[in-house]
Amino acid sequence: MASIPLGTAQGLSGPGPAHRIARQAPPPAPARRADLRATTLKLARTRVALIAFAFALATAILVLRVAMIGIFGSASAFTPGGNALLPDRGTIVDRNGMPLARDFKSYALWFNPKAMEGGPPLTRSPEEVARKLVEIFPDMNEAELAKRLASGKGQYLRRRILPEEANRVFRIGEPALSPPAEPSRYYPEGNLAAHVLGYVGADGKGRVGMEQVFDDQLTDAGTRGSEQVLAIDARVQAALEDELLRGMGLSQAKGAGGIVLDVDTGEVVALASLPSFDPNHIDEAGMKQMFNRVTNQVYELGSTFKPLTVAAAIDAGTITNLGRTWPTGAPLRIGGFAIKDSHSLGPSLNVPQILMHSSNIGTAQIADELGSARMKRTMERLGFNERPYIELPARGFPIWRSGEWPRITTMTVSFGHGIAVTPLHLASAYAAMVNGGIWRPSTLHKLAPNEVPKGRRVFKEATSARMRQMLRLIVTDGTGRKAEAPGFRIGGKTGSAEKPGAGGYKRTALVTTFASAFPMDNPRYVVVTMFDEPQGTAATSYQRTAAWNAAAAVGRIVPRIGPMLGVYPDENRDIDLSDMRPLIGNDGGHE
Amino acid sequence: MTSRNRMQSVMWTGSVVVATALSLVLMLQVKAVNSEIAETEKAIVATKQQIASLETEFQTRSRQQQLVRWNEVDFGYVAPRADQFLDGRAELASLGKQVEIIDAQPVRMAVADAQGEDRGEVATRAAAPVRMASAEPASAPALKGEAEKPAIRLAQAETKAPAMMRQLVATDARIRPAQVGPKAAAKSEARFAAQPTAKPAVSAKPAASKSPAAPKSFAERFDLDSVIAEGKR
Repeated sequence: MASIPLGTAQGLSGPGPAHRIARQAPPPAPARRADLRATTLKLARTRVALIAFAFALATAILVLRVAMIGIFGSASAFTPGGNALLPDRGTIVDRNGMPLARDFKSYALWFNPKAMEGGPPLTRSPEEVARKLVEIFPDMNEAELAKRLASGKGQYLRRRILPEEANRVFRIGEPALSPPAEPSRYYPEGNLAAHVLGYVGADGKGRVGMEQVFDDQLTDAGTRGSEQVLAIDARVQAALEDELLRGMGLSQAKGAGGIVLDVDTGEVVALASLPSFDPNHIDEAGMKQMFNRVTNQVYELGSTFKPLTVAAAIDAGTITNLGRTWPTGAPLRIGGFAIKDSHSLGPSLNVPQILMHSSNIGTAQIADELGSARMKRTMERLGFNERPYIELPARGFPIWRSGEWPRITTMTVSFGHGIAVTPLHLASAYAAMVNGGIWRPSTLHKLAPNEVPKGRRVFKEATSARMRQMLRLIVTDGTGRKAEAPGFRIGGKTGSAEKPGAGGYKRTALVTTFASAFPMDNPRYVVVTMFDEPQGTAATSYQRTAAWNAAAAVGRIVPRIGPMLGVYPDENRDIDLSDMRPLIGNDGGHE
Repeated sequence: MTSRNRMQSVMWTGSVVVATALSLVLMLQVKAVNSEIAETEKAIVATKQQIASLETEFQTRSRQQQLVRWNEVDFGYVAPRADQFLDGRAELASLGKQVEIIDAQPVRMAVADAQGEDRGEVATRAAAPVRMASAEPASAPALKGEAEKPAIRLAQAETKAPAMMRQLVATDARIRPAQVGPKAAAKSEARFAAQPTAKPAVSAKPAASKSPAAPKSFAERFDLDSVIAEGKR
């Protein structure tokens, strides 16, 4: 505005005819001068109005913006840090909310030679820096470290370091050694429940366990904020693993497996397969241990099948009198096959005695009387003809004879041979046998009371009650006495099966199992323990059968887990065995 | 341009400048508050992350296997035994109390006497420790602290006997095993094995003879012998 000289013809009219006029006639006529003045004034007014309008518009915009901020809040003004707390991968917790797998920003020692932007990567000599690093990490090799630093290549010097170590590295003062915090998957409980949890591979995908099963929910932005709750109880899991590991050590077994299953819901409260692996550090040795013995490996579980056979016979009505005896004095010859007992058990035994002494001959006769069709149907209803019900990807298919069963198959299946199932199959079947007869699929999800599956009836309530008595009898007076824990009313059955090998069964390689439930007067949990090739050691009185390892382990596990699961010991309570006692006399059990 | 017009334009310009300045100040203030909130949010996030990492560290240091190792080396705790659990309030109340075996003392139903207050008082004085078995567990010749149990046993006592007699009978420890369930029987049998002198029901007789003030003794009103026989059966 100031640059335009108001009142001068040149400034207002520009290089038009006025310019020429001014040159031709320097003093304009008075009429012309008035006219020019009016024009100039009009133009000035228009300009002022324009400028005022621009200012008004700017003010209006500002006021509007202020109003918008005031009204619509600061939604667009900044992004809140809510997303910062959303983990890259969701958390997995146990049934009590204890995190078992979570995202964790861990520090890595990363050598970044480009940090100095053009200059040499380190401010000091690589040897000096290496010496300082070895002061912090004494297990590192100084010479090798110096070589790596001198190479000038960006690389991990160490994958995981502690926060305090990161601070000390920071204090060295080398910009090339600033430890970045990297998101990583972390299992605070180490190798606890490793087979249940699995691990996360380098590609960020879950492997082996629930990490694989939950992969979509754990990575989806909409669902990864909420926790995935397992049915596992970390304390029970720890007790189970600890005792199995102890049992493995005492019996020098190659491996062990164990399950704690809720009999009324099918929830797997603990599931262990040993030896285990550490999901925090997956290495070659760990990869070899990823095979799940409990859900993936099928075994001929031996005598633990006998109670199922007896239950099927009671249920079908072929056993109406528990006092009825079967001849057990001589091996049973069927075709070219002889069914024998481990040692002579006397000329005849009744039903409770057959179970207490674990007589193959007696059980085979009971199954023979029951018949192939009924025996097979019961086994099918217990789920022995399909993969076990569990979310884990590793589920073994049973060795199951399809079609009509010949007589000998029925007889061998009755004592757990000629059929191979996983220990999880057995646990579900025992749950059905003691809970009143309802079979339910096992699950690793924590179930709300309204989510418990209805299940299917396999045994009658009365059959289940009888079986509870007999299973208890096996522990009080039979082969399972080592499992007795005062006040916990454990009942169960031992099983020691020879492992099949080249050219028949191997007499020295056993799979020992103890399938049990507690408390027997009102069963709440099934506990199955299994040892793979236990040896007779001084700790097991040079015995390798189930009574000395698997049953003894249950006897140690139950007192530890009972109170955690709300089952308190009471020595004044037990299942009523008074009608069974006369049947067994003063019999003691053998293995 | 007149001076009035100039004034007007200056005023306009001034007001626009002031408005702009004010809105600028407001804007800056809003910005400041915004960034303050953002800072706080960042601090909250950082703290939460720190909490998560500390929680993880604690859990790692106190992982179940570590606890087991510490327990093996330092503490040696084992799973609790059955006798370390209490069953109900009665056992809790008697916890830590010395088990007192009260000698057979004269038992009389002093307050039960419906006739005359005076006589009742006399009777009470004559046989000091006489009380209703179910009303005062401390003086019942059973174990102290087992207040709840007599009530159960009353219902199972000889039903033909009058109410008061049943209460008297209930104090007899020896009757219990025969009349309660087999589980409880096992428990009381074990305890009473240690007090062979407890014969309260029998001692009712001297109580009756010692208090002549009582208008009608138990022996007169009830067939005591049959009740004792019932208890011994």
